[in-house]
Amino acid sequence: MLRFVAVRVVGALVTLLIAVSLAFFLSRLAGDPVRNMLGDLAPADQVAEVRAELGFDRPLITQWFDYIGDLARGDLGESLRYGESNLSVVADRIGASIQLAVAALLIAVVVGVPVGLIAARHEGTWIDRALMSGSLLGQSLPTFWLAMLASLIFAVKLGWFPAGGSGRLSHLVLPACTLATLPLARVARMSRSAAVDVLQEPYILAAWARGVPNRRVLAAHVMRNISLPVLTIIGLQAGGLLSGAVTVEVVFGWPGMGSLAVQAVQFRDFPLVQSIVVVGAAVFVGINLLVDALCGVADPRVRVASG
Amino acid sequence: MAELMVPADAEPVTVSEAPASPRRRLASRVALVLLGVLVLVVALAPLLPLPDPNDQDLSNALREPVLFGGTWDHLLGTDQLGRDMLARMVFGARLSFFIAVVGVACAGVLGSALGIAAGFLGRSVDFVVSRLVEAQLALPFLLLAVALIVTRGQSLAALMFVLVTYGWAEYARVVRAEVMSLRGRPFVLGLRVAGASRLRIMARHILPNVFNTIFVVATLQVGFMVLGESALSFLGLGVVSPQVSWGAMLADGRSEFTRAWWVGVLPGVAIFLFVLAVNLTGDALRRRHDPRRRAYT
Repeated sequence: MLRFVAVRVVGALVTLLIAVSLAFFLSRLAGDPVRNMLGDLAPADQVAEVRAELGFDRPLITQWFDYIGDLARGDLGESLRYGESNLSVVADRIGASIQLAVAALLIAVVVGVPVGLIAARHEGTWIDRALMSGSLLGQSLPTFWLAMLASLIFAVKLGWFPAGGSGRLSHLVLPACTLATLPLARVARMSRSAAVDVLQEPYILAAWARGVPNRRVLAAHVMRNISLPVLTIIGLQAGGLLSGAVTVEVVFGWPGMGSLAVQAVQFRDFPLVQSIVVVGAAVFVGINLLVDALCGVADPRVRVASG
Repeated sequence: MAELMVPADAEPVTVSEAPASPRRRLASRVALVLLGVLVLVVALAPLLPLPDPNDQDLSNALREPVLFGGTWDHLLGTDQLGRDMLARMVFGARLSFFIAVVGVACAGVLGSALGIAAGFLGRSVDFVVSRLVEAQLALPFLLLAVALIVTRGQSLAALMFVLVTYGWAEYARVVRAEVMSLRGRPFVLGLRVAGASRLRIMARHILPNVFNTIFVVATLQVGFMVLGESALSFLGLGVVSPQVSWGAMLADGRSEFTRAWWVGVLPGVAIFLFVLAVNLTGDALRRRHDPRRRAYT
């Protein structure tokens, strides 16, 4: 198990390194941050001065080495707007983001897995069709539009929940529910197709034949066997969740990393945006590492195969 | 005795065969018709008797759609600047579709080429491409988009760059897997023995064999591109006035949402229906081309 985890950790670090470098080179390829910061009318000597100040006049490869070196020491640079280290600016906001993401993921799993199981149990009936049509609808909705509708209906018209802000549990309800829609739909579909497979297995039939109660069959045998694909899809949803959180946070004024990123773009705060991308990638890689480890715990075959 | 415990004519337990149920087929047909009508309307937009989507008429601002107390002059009402919603929806669709189609095509060419190269050549090419795909998928879409737009500034070209940058990885991943299963087939070995160059085998023989897969991924990505464009435009990082897209309309509608719901609801409904139709079609295509999946999902 230790070896299994070690291999995964090294792999995750390599992925993270490449991801961060990719973001670095792509954003430099895309354009000139200084030009964009100062505007097209800025005099050339001023542009040159700012470039020199930020170190952008050096060869790209040197900048990259410095950048990775700083990252390795945990130095994410300084925000242009806030005048403090990017790390502390992001750290102020990341708590709210985690809170929102965890709440959304919990809703997605707690609702999505049973929905998938129920659909699989009633495979081919109207229950299955209704649930799967619902999940297809959920996959086609623009998350931010759903957020706008939810805030109009439940906050403005009905007044059940606050339209924005954070702090109390009631603030969390609307953002978490809207953000949960897409992962919920995906988790439900994946749970269903995995459970349909498992329910055909001889050991399930044997359990039923022995008179094991239905609930126990589902909880003990089916759940454990679908945990692998479901865990994997949850890990992959993390990226979508970080992405969807940006628009949801903007709509509900949630003080997380997503709304910070949008503000940073408006202020042309290039170093801060880059730091947010690094943190986002790190969170994604970290979650998937955790998922890999959990898969190893849930299913010994995984440990053997890749250990 | 013992052998009679199971009745001889007991039905064998089978995986539910799904030669697409009639209802499912109906759903994907309706989706196809809807897509056809949309494409037709969008293609013919300049010929339709619609007002200019940017024509402002402040005395006619925020008129309701016709079914909600509005007049026939503005079938879907007007927005806060008195611009005709129907015209904006149609012309918005033009730009949204254009972005989606060009984005899907560029990402598809790039991603498929890399996927075929990785799957066919193997070794170091495969290693590099696979690591790149993993890394790309680790970057959350909107965060990467924000990072690219902050250096590039906001423009249609920047928007396309972002969508293509994000889209290629999915093609590469799926196509690579498919090509790896083709690589060892006898026809490929035969071609190698006959002296065909690797490039020729990849372009003339492997590509046609994975084309179905590429097409299915492309269909599913159209929905993603439309949603991605609308999210970016909604954040004010995508399409800018006077250009119209569904996402940009939603951004406009947000400020008026409590006073005039239709300005924000209609483009959202359009995006939703379009993406749903694309997803239904994509699912149907996937079932048709992938026998392994035919039974489920």
